[in-house]
Amino acid sequence: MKLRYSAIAVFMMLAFVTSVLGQQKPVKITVTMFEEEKSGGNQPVPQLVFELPPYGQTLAIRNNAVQGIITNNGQGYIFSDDPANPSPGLNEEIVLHVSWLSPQTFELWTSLEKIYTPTFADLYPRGFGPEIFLRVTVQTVNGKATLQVENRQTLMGFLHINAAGTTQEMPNSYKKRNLPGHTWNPADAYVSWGVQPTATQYVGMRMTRGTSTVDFIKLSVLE
Amino acid sequence: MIRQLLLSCCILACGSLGLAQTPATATVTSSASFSRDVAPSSLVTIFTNPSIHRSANSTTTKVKVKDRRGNTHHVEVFYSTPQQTNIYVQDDIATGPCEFELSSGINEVSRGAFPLTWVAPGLFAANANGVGVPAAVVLRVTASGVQTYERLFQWSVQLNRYVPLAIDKGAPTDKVFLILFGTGFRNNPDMAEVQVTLGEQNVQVYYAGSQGPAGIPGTFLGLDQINVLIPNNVAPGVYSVVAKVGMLATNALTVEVK
Repeated sequence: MKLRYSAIAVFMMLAFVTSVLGQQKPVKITVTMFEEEKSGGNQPVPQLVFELPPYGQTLAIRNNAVQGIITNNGQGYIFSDDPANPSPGLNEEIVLHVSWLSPQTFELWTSLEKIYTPTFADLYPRGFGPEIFLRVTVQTVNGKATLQVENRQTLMGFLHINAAGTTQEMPNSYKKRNLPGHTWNPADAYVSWGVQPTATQYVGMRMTRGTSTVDFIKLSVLE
Repeated sequence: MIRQLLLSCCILACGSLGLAQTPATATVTSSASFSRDVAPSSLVTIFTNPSIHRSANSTTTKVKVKDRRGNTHHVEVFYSTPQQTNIYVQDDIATGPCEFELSSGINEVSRGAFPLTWVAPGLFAANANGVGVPAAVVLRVTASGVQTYERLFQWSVQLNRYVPLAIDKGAPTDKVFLILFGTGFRNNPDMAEVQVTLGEQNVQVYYAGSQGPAGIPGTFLGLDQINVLIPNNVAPGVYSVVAKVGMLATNALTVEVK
């Protein structure tokens, strides 16, 4: 009997210690689908910032949740259908998806196919369609969370950055979604993939022209 | 002979995958590498709980995949047991997050999710476990143009598995090609993106893509192929073989060179 009570006491102590040690501050991570440059630094579009759900839950943003959003400067970045190649059932299409593989690792997939820029086409291409797929591990060291990102895929509609970092056109089959008359000029601007300015930030795709930058799929750990 | 070797490779790789692992819940993997990443036009294995899918078989098991556009696709099932089902993920399924449902009878349903990416390279292993000697063949071309196919694995009765058979480089004038089979990389648009290493050494890649034209006898659904030249200067030894397509690496396999 005595042994039994001792075992129960030890078990309760272990459970208490485990519960105390296990109480880590939850890490808050946001994903910003689009962040444009403005004077004084980049500025996210509030409707395009999403907080990652807790472990066990999935974030699925469909096109109808973001369609028609225009950025603050009115230049007109719109999630919409491509008028030259309308897609049936487009509004239900998933454009951003985050799911957890483990309490520390999540996968992010996005299609930016439906962004185009009617009034700003000199800087950004119309009808471009990158897909980005990231596997992200959140590591907590001394109470600070950092992101370790593995880029599992980056595909663009008509441009492709190869393993050597060279920009090259994709085969014709990849170009079918493009609007005629709009091409992206690599000499004029460039795309950077997988930019990680700090251990708590990661940018899936950064477009640069001169001193202007626009970030797509920006992950941020919020302290 | 090449047809027989291809057939045996495919049967080995696709037919007995369940021996490698038996997850408790339905899990989607590449049939070659068993990694989580799968691509359109590739061979995919779904591991299931055998106590749920007791009556699963290749005739009655059905698999549906719903893509991120909301379209539902009935995919081809070519092998199904209570532990695992092998399917072909066709190319009209949109890349991105997918959901699947596998049903093998009344109250025998599993569901799950997986990401479908444009390229997800994997190489088949002779022992159908994603490691060790590849399910591959060696093509020797002599100076006179004579072509012969040779094995690079043999059955070990003692070990009860396939073990490497050392590749003979032959005469200095021979060209010896390693023909690897895999899945998930035919959508790669640029051959320059494909790199293969033999140990630490990059080897010349002659081809990476579909194993054959669709609909032609001898072409296997979803099977991809990489042809590389084994350099004459490779020293005898055991080497790791890894293919890299863009930024994505395959599973590492092992070959032996005489």
